[in-house]
Amino acid sequence: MTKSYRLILVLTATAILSGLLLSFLNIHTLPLIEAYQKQVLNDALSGVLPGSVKIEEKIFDNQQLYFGYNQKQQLQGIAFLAEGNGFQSKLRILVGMDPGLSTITKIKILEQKETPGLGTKIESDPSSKTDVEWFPNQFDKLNAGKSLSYVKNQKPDKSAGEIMAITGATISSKAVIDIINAALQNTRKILSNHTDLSIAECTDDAVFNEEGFDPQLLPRGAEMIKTDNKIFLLNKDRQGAVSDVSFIASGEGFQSTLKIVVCMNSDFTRIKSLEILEQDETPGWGTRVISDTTRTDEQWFLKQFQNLNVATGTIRVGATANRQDGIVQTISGATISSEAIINILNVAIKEYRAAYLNRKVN
Amino acid sequence: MATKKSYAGEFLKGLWDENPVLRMQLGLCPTLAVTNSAINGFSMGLAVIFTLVMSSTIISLARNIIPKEVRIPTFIIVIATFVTIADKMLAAYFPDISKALGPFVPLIVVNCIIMGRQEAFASKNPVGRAIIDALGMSIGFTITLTILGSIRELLGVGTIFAVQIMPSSFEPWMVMVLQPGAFLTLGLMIGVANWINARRTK
Amino acid sequence: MIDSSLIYAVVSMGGLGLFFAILITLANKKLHVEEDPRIELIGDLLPGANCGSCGYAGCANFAENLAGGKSQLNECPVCGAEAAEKIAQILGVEVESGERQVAVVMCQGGDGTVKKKAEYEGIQSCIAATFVSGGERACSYGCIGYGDCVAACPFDAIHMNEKRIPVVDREKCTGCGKCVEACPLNVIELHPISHHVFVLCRNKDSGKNARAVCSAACIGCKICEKAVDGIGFNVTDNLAVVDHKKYTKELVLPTEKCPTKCIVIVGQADEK
Repeated sequence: MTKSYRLILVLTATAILSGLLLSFLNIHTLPLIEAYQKQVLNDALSGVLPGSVKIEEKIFDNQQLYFGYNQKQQLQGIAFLAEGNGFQSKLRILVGMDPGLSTITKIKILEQKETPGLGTKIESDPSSKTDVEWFPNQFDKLNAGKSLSYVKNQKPDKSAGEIMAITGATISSKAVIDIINAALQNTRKILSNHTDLSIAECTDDAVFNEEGFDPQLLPRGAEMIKTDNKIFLLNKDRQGAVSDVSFIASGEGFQSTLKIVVCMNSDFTRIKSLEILEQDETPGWGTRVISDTTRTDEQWFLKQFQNLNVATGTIRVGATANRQDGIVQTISGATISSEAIINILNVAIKEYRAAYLNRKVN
Repeated sequence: MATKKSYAGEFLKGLWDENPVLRMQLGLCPTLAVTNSAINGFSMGLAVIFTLVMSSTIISLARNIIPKEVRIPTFIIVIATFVTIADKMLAAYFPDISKALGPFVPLIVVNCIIMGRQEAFASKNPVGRAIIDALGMSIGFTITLTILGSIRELLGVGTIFAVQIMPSSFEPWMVMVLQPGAFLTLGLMIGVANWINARRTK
Repeated sequence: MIDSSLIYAVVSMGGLGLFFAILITLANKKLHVEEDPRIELIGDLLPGANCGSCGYAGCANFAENLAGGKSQLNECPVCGAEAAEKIAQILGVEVESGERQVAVVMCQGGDGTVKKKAEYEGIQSCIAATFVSGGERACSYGCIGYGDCVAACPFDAIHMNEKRIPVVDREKCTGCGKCVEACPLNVIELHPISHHVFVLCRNKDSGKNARAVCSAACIGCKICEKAVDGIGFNVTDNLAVVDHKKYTKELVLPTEKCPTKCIVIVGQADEK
């Protein structure tokens, strides 16, 4: 019987030793592998969301979305992952777009195992004499208003969302287009279901000085107007129409003067974003309006005002916040500061709206 | 009568006379798949060297303990363990190569060269010989794959180890980096090897 | 540090190992085939070349048949004396001391000796040449010269010389007979190693015709037969053949007397 026992012993012992060894190996290498993958993703994200200093990841219905904010917490761009089948492998593409999801900023192919020398050109084409990454670079500033499409052997029309397919790798090229189109549609659907995600495009407050807006520092296409002694900063879209209006509201807080930059849509029915320019409230209490360390999302108070509906004319305080009805919560321990802000806003909105809508348009 | 070779002979046989790819035609699946460039072929070879040498060492050391009824599962566990080590180390320290070699590193487990050498040699010979045999076979494998990869890369892209060799007027032969090119090149290499051998013995 | 992943790994791997080990053990018992333990021992002693001369499918198969009493040990010509003794011990039989056999190439008609009748451009194989009127040598009984015998030898004991006639290395040759099989004209024969004198020719044509095609051909002149008073050399059909049963070392060798020098002493007297 010893033979049988030996048989069992040897096989089991080998298996156990193997398990132990590989376990140790895993413990040692897993952090390295994960760090590398994270690094790859972060590099890709910085690439497709240029100008963002902070990138937040949010997951909706299994779709990861990345929001890129600049220093002033303003949304610079949105990135999403697009996955699907290529010609012979799974493709994983990171797509960076403007906050309105109308133009692609840049794409980055994260994973592909297509045919070497043909399909691999979607990532890098070493045989190209001009630009090794000519294929992905076609997506820079590509108009995504309509579905993306490809053309063969002719110059693509970027304003119509066209790119040129790779000769000999049409299927891989088409796959990239289809995957991005599908993911974009999905992302748009998600964002339309979650309007609390700001799609604001308000002004970088570097244009403000003590008095107000600094005319020297206006962003391109913006216009500063003064009417009824009130200064407005108008941001315009590509067609020249006004996309948002910003002004400075000020008033008394708990123990200091508050100055708030308010950015609204052009008919003053919705606040797009707020920025507190000046305040000197009680540290740890009144300052909670800016940074509430008792909550995980420290800027939650101001964020309530993003995309807040004020068509009724006033912001109201309530137990639960509701964007559609213009209701916000106050901060416990800083009720007076919170209410002060709300009052300042209500007054300012009323005045500035009247002034803006009644202005003489020349 | 099969004579006991010297240590040198044991090593050298893997390089030419019993070259696993060209003479014994073993391990052709990874050979064809990863030789689309010189560096890929070379890297796969290195992974096989590691796996084969380590497996042969352990199995040779344990050859008197392993009962012959369970030798196949035991060999497989040993081989699979080392392949996993190689795979994870590549992924952790050389992620680019790991990406390039893709699913073929795990497939080294079923590369018949490894299993074949354990069964035919390592389980019946002392450690010293087993290691030398493993080195010879795997180095022969590596050299062959590197040459095959270089040929395919040179004609299919114009470079070797990503260094441009062909003049810019050279129009690369796409087929070389695809599967048919792999088969053709390998077949021709085996043919050349046979021809050289025939001339040697005449 | 004891990670939970460690415990999982050890338990799962160990569990699998244990499960399959038990399975194999049970299968081993249930499916056990009673094999004569001698077979393995004999198999290890056999040369392991798997040349097939015994007529069985390799050494393992031969071992099986030996142990089963279906074959004799002397069917393996390759087996050395030492191994043969040990195997005989295992089998419990007497070892018949057989003499080692070696191959002898019965032809001297190489390039320069035999005349060429044609230019052969084709597959460099003797068998292939026989399909195309027998190659380029004018003698239709003798060596064709493309080395099928060399290719067939598993012991590296036969090589072509520069005249394209095969030469046997009598030390390496084990008498397995593969070259004999391979030669399409049966130019090679197996002989015990103690045989040294041979008429290295096969040509049965008349003396004139034989001489016309090869300068080393046997012309059937019977000088050798006469020199030994008919004991040991027989000439039939224009070809002299050594009768090794009758021919002994003591007789005078008529090698000098042969006009075409086709009688040759092969090997040395003290060979084993």
